[in-house]
Amino acid sequence: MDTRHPTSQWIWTPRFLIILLLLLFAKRPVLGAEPLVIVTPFPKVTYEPFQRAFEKSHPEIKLEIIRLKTDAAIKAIQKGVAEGKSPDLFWASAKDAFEILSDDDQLVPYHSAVPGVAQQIGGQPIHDTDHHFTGFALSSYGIMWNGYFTRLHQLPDPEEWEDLTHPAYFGQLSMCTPALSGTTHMTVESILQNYGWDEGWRLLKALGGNVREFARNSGDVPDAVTAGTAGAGVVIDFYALTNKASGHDVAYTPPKRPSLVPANIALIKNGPNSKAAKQFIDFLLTPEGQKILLLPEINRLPVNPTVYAQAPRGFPNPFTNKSLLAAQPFDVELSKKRYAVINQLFDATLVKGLPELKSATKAIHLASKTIEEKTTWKTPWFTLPWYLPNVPNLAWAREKLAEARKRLGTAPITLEESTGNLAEIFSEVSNDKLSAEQKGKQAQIRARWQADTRQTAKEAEKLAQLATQLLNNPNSVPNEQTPAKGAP
Amino acid sequence: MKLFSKGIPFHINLLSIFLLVVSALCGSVTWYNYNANASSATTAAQVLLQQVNQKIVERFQRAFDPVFSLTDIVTTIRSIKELPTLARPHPSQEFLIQILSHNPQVFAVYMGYDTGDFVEVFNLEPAPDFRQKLKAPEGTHYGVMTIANDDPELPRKRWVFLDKNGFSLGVHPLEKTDYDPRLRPWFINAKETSEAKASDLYVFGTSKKPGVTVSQAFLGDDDVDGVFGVDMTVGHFAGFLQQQQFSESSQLFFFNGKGELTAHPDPAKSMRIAIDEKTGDPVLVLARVSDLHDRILNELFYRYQYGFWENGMIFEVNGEKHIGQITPVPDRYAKDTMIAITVPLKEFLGPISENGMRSLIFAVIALALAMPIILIISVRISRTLRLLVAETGRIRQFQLTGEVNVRSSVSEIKMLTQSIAAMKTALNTFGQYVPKALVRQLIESGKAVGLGGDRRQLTLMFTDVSGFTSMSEIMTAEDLTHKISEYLKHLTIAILDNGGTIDKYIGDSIMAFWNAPALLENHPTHACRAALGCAVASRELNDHWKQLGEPVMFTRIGLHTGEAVVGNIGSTDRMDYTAMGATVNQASRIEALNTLYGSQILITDTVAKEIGPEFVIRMVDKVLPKGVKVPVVLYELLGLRDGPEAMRVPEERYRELELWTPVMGLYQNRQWTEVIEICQRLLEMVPGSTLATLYIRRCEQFKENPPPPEWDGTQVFLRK
Repeated sequence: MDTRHPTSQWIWTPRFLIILLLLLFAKRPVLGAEPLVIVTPFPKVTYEPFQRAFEKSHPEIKLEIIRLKTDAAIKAIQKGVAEGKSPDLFWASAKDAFEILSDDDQLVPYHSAVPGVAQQIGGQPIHDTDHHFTGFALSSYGIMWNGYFTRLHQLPDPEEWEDLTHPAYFGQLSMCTPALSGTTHMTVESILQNYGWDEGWRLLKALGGNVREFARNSGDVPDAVTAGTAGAGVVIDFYALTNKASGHDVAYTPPKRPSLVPANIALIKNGPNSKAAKQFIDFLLTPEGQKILLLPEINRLPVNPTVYAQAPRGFPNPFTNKSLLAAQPFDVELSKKRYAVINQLFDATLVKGLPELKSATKAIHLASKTIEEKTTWKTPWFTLPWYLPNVPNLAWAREKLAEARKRLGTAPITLEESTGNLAEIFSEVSNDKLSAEQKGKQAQIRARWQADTRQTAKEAEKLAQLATQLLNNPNSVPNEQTPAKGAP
Repeated sequence: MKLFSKGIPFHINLLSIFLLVVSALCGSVTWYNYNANASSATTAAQVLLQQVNQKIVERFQRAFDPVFSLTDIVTTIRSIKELPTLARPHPSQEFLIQILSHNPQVFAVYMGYDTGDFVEVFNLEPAPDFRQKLKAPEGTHYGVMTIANDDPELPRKRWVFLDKNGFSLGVHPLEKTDYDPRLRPWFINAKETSEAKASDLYVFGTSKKPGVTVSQAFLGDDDVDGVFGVDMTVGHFAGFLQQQQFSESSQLFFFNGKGELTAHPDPAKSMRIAIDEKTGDPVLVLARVSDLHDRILNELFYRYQYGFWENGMIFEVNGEKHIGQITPVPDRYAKDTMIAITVPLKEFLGPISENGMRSLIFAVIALALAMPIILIISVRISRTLRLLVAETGRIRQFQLTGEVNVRSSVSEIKMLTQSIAAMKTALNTFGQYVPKALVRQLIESGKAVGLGGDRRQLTLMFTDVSGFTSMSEIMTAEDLTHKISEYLKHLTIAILDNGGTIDKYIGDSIMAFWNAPALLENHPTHACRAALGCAVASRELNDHWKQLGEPVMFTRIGLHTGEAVVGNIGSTDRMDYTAMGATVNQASRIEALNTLYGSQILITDTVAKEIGPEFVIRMVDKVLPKGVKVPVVLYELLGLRDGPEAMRVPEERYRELELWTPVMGLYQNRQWTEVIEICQRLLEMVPGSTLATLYIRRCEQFKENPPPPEWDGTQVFLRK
């Protein structure tokens, strides 16, 4: 089975290399001065205001921005450093990408002396402890939803991840996968850390069951919510806020147990313009640079607390907002250790197993709806939760539904396994560094995970179907099923 | 609530009921009408929207179907399979120009070959901007671009410009190009299947215009394989959409499953061409429906996306209702594409709302016009009812005279009128037998009628007719009854007019009294006036009868005041209101004494002392009737000093009265001779005066037989 990353297929096409070369070298000589080369996955709307402001305050420095997706950027930097053609700066959101480069000794420490920059928030460090990379903005992961969706479904505004497991969100939830998006990886990891391993997987699977299909790109999620192809999505705050700012009827909320993640910038080893690069980092941290983050098309949280005084009304300030301050400390070590395992596990269970997961979730939603219908007295004017003691098999059906939920929500592996030898097996992500034996082993494990999740999903679906059948057709209960204790 | 404490008048009642019923009726009819019309208009609107969408689909078919069949045919033609060269026109060039001239929706036709060679013919007529960009000579209709040989390092592209007949107008020099048909989506798509296929919207490689390509692969037999393509620009469809907008506020657009606007009457709103950051190629960026920030489109679109949509659905935005229709475009023409249309419902319901309002106004005017009529009718009915009420009020007071004069066309009121009239007649007949005045007085006194009575001062009157017996002998019964009735009627009127109560008729006599049942101040005075009235009435009647030559009836009247018992006696079936006691008997006797004195009206001293000086009286005697212990002084009531002519005492009588004044004193002093002398003088003055004769006779008797010494002038009557 081809296990290569989808993006890695086009990364090495000749066309891409031509462009990369063109960008790196062809346009370089401008008025004799070497331009400052920055590699970033940020879209033009994000980097352009910084570029303009920086070039204005430092007219002697020209910027050269190379836009690559995070994954591709890591590879391009690794390649550039190896070939002695290092870009100067790496500028991105995902902290893990910096960790990888830092571990790979591709980054140069730089401790900016710009005053007023916060060093930590809610007990969490904002910058790398060894100053290999510097946080310049904060973001939260949360829920973005379409106002039309909640209004048409008469749903309350979602506040928690659990709210998105409501049956109305079935097939209406959009999210990316941790393997395709660094920010989504952070979201998944923080759910697993905040909720605990088992409870976290139960939640992830319940969310996954409501997903129509996983987005290929974290930026597609807010687009789907805005375009109405999804009702709600798991996004990073600035995407949602930007859509909202441009007049779309969408809203964003961080969950009750949020995670704040810094977006970072780092000096690349052997970069030719380290002086200009340092000037750019300093510029990002000065109030002048931080202010740009408040622009409605960027909407990121500055790390310089004084800048919030200039923020528009309603702009969240994590340094004073209690809910954002209550963010759980993020265990970077744990995250790093199981980074690949989580990605692979998520792909194998939720992405590959999506059809079975959806089918089981649908059956569970139907069973819970049937129970509600049988026990609720509905009139066109009002609804009463009216317990009917003579609903046949009610307790039995409830038990089966609970069993179905439990079965479906089972974590694919244990917490110990995730950090144990599995972490070692999957630690090396890069395909070309893997031996055939390692590849085979990985494929084998993934196949087992997939088979297991499919099996559990099918079992859960059967249990949920049985619950529905018990209520709708009390006399045609299959023979092999015996009433549980306490059931009528 | 004091206003209507007596109840709400009939006409107001009727008017309010009318108003209520009619406005409820008008309202409900108008409402029903409006709803019925609105629902049929809504249905019509739904059908209309469906037709519009159907028309658009048909238009798509008309644009695409010829292109599909064209590609089907063209790909079999041998000439297109020949590889192009830069030296001479492609053998199929003329044929391709023919295609363009017959299919205005087609912008360009072309062939790409597996070798990388390419030939394309453009219709430049409708694309002046592109023509200018190419620097095509004046009069250019068609442009032919040929790319031969696949080495991008060599100049290999050539533009040739043709006029509308296909004659060459100019040739551009050879250019280098990196265009490779084999990398274009239309080429790749067509290679996947053998059938003609429509692409998604994209930007055409050469013209940089957005549009759709229909392409089909062909097999080159022994030549090279390739793909034949036909380009249609978005502009063509946008123009058509503009035509389909049937009102200013209607909105028509296409969207795809990703929520992107794929067509809009204003292409500038729905799409722009951007340069891909990575490849530098122009790419088509489609706006999302929500990017238009139109709440109506959003409502329609999100309802559809989130499964809350039904075609012909009416939805509300900002309190205004809209109707919409979403129809899928067949996959063959555009994948996953929907046609959506919305129109404010008021565009369909406007005339109906207006009509409804007009009929409501009409109803209100009609109501306003009808109101006075209703008011007149109700007032008329009300008035007749009031008249009937007044009539019954009069009946209650025993005013039974006159007809019941109420006219109405309402049968019930007519019947009621007749009933009241009948009741009146019945009561009238009945009333002949009952003392109406008495009953009226009884009613007015407000006392419940029951057996029993009370003692009080009464003035009693008795009347009698002298010579009645002889008259009764000579007259027939009918004549007599008639005469007596007429006589009694006149006297009764005189008594009643003066507040008297008729106790009973006893043959030709009347018994009446005053001060009962209602209390009456100065009842002796009233009685005296009544007595005078009776005398006058009697005299007038007699004058009348004399003229007719009929016998006359001379009335004698006696009045006496004293205590008597008055009340109802008899049984509960038949009651009499009457006075009883010695006073009554005395009054009766006094009346009889008139014969003795030749007087018409005799009153007792109890009466005389109560009446004022306006009455002219003279004492005639002092008597002790039988059974009475105290002597009674009798006076003759002669008339009024002043007053109506008939009742006034004539001047000439005052001399007679003056002469009489000392008589009673002389009589009591036993001066018989003086009395006789005066009486004789009186006789000379009034020949045949009964009173003078009486006293002459008495005095002559007393002269011979003087009365005992205790005699005080009282005449004792030994018989009744």
